[in-house]
Amino acid sequence: MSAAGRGREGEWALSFHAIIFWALAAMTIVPAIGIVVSKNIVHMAFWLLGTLLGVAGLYLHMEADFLGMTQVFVYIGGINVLLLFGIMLTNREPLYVRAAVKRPAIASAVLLGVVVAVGLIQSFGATEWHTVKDAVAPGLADASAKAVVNGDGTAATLGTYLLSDYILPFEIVSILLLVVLVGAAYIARRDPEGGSA
Amino acid sequence: MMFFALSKQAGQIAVTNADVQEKFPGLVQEITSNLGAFLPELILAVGVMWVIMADLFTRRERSRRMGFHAFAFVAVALVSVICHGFSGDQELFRGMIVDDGFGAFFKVLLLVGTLICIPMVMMTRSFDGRRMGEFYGLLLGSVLGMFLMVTAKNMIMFFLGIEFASYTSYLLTGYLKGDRRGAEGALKYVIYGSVASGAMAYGLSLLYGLTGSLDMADVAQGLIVSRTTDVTVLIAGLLCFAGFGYKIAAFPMHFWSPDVYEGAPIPFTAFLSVISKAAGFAVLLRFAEGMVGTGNWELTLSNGDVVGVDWPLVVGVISALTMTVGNFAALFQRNLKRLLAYSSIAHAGYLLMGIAALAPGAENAIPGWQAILFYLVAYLFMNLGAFLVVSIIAEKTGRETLDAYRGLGSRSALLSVALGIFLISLIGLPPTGGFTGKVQLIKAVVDDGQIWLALVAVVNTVVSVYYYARIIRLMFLEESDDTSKVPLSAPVSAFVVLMIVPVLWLGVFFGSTVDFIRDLTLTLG
Repeated sequence: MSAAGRGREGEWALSFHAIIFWALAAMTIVPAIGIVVSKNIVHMAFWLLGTLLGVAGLYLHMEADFLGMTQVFVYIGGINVLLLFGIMLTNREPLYVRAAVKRPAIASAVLLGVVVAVGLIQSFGATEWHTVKDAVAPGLADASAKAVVNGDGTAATLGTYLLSDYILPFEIVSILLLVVLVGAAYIARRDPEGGSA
Repeated sequence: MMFFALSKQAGQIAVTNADVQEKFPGLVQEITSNLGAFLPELILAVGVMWVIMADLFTRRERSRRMGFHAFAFVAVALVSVICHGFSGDQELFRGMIVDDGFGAFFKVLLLVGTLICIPMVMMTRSFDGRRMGEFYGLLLGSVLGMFLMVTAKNMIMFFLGIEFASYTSYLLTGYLKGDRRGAEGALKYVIYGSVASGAMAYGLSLLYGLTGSLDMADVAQGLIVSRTTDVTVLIAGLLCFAGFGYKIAAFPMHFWSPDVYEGAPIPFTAFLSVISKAAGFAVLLRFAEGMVGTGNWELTLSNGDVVGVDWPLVVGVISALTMTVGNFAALFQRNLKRLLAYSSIAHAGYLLMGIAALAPGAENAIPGWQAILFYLVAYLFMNLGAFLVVSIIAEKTGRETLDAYRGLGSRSALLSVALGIFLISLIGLPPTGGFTGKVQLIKAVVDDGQIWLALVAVVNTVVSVYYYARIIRLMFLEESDDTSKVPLSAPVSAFVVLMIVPVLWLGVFFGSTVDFIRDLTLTLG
């Protein structure tokens, strides 16, 4: 895909990528603003759907196919739907979130956001980033680089690395999930001796 | 193109066993051989499952006995850490974690602290009638997560360890479900914690983008080799610090701590303020050693310009702000748990001085990290001791406010003298471990040439005398309407005495501990 520097065709491919990128970026950011601005919590949940979809698109655009699909399955298929269920099962009338913050607070938050954004864009633009292809160390970067070069999906390489270099985090996450599930079950459980659940 | 790749992949199994053998020769043998050094973690992992399962076969009124099971697992893990020794020097699991003296030291610290906290939990009556299997399961899980924090070498393990320790802490804070303050504390903890982890994940991803590696040693090398924009390195470092700083309750990531400390059950507050903080410092030290300790954070270019982020100054400023905010807020507290929460913020500030002086300039100077290790040992005993007395008083009187301590001197000599010693140690006066520890920290920053920071620490110590000494004055110089003796059983008295001994020992015979810490190794690989 690294078609830059191959004449007119390369430039065309580059600009095509740019168009897709900006489209996906807009698809991520516009709903994100929608979440912050809207007052109805159901609307917020649907706006969130757009943002999550946009992020999945960005992952796919960066050839992280496995990550993109996981994003769709877990966040859109799981978390967002769960969120909607939660809202619809607990509220019979539409729930409006009233902003308790004052106007000066909103203004200063917007100002701070703009300053941070400009600062980050400025400094990141001047930074020399390392792409996956010139990574100094082996690891995930290496894995995804290979997958990109071969045109394979990343799932197989990720699987290999999860059970070799990254076996410890992989196993630890399973213990973490077990412990947290037990804890969540404890918090959600109703106590028989009258403690409010 | 990627959709094509997906459809192509669906029809085939891309990796065969032979591929794995070819790509990773001896992988299975390597990982199996690493399990020996991983034994303490395995013991804890089995312990997590054991206490939860065994609790299912125990009647509710006997559920508190799970404390003995948890205690046994922690004790066995402690024995296995000590048997493994402090001279390890190898990477485990393909560079994910390391086995070194620094890590083993922290593991012992965490386990000893947990061994002190478990009896405190068993003494607490507000847990009566509750199923305790989950509590101890989560507690052991928390310690397991902290083990990964203190041995982590890869940034993934930094993140995973911190998350592991945090999730379990959120749940334990809200363990008393009917308690409003507990629920409020737990919720605030979750919200602050997720923001902090998000910031840290962003910071770590920036470091990955700058250096192309997740391994801390490679990151340290990469930051030196590729002189990238300092502003970006600064942003990445500060974002990462948000995650570590939240764990140690450093300014400006300390806002959660007073509410969480007040809301959580007292034994768990003690656990958070000491053990969780120690683990946070361990992982921060490993991170800082990579960012600063290599000594090359400053680079003189050929044209004479000096580039690089002045990390000692950045950390020094955070340290000064943390101790000042903690001490001044503590002046106005009436609830002793809350007072100790602010005092523990102040102590995080003192400890951060060691990180500001990580790379000492002077010859024969104490490296900052060794001063931190010593102070943490002293802090473990003095702060847990203070919480032990607070816990006993809260059990006997049902109160956590300062009024409960009025005239305590005539009601219980042992408790009041013990609390007096712990508080003197927290102030940092001789002959206690708090004094020798603080002297080392101050000496470290003075050797490093940061006199201003040492002065701030001294001024803060003077300020802290006010609120610590106020408790001592209440206990010994004021009369209480209630003059009945506070009854103490023999095991509880012995427990209190056991906590006093190390505090005084470290204040008088500190040499052996200092020498022991000096011989430890901190590897980055």
